[in-house]
Amino acid sequence: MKKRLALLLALCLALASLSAAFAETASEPLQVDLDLSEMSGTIVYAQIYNIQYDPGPYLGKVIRVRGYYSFYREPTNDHVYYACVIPDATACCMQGMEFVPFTEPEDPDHYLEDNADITVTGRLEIYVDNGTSYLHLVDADVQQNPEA
Amino acid sequence: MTYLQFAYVRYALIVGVLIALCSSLLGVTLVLKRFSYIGDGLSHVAFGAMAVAGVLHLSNNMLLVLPVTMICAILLLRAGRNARIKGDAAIAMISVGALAVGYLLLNIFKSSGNLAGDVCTTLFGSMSILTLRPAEVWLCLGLSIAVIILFLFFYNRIFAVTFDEDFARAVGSKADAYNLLIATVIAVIIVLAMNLVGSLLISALIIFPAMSAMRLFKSFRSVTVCSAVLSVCCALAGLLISILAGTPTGSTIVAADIAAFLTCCGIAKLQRRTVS
Repeated sequence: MKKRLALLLALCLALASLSAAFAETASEPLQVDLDLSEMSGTIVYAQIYNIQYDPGPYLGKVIRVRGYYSFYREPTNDHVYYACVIPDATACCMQGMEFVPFTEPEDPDHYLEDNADITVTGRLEIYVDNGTSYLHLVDADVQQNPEA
Repeated sequence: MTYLQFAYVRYALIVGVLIALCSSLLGVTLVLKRFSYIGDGLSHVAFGAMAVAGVLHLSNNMLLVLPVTMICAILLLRAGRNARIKGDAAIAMISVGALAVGYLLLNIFKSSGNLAGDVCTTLFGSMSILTLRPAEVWLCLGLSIAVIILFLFFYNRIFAVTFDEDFARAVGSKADAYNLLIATVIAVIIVLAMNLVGSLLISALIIFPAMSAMRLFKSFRSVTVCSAVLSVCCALAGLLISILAGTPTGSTIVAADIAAFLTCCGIAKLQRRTVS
């Protein structure tokens, strides 16, 4: 009995350390291929436009972008979409980059404040919804930037 | 320098320089012929034509915008002399008329969810210059080279028509044909420049470099050369500042043109003081 208990304990410990190791690996900072967070608003807007227009060269790349947090819940299927919105220099046009947080927020409605200044780092992927292709950053690490 | 790794930044710099060069070449002629405001009028016509192209869902709106702008340019430059409605009134009517009809059509036949954004982009250039596709760059390259070649080839005739059209006509020059040529070239430049600074700010590209050069030089040739150099430098400076500082591209280029004009005025004043 003692042997079985010790074996069970050892198994639990092994599993715990394995999951801890996995968690550490997963939270390791991503190797960023394209960092737009330090670039000027003009370039960021133009770059996002160009990515949306011709995503081919950027698919699978890790992109970091800074913008404003936006959240939308689709009323028909209750699906939640998160986006980082980048306005242009004249503030009349906007580009949105959808992202999927690495860990799904427990309460999406109160995940972040709307229009919060955020930096999102994630891998660019394409997905098809209702026959239309969309781009999003998956496994996204989302950081809220301190107010200036 | 890191920004130069992006193809669209390189495209913007190439197209920006070419458009600035072309607009400054014709700017001197237009200012001297007292047609400074024609650029503004024609750019509004181009806006109206662009709205119609959007309503018709034309994939290449140049097919409509360029001919319509050319026709209006010819009407304004040729008919302006003999028409019942004279020069400035005709320009003003066509300008506001096209702007109003264009905006009306865009509102009635909405083709996108962001109407304000579309209008803002067309009027102020916004990011158009940084979102050019290779085909647009090639088109701009071809048209710009054509404009420069035409200007160099017909330089003497344009010079004659600019300063004294009646004299040029009297000595046998085909003044009407050259006016037609100038109108066509202006229309091409306007349509190209809409990408760079938007339709509301095009006049600045045409007028400021010419006026700045006129503060410093007196001969047609030196004014034209100085105007071209100033225009290219201001376009480059404006583009680079807008990219680095994140300011709107069109208005930054125009701000650079204003700064150059004020500098030239200052230099001219100093020169006069030195001479006297």
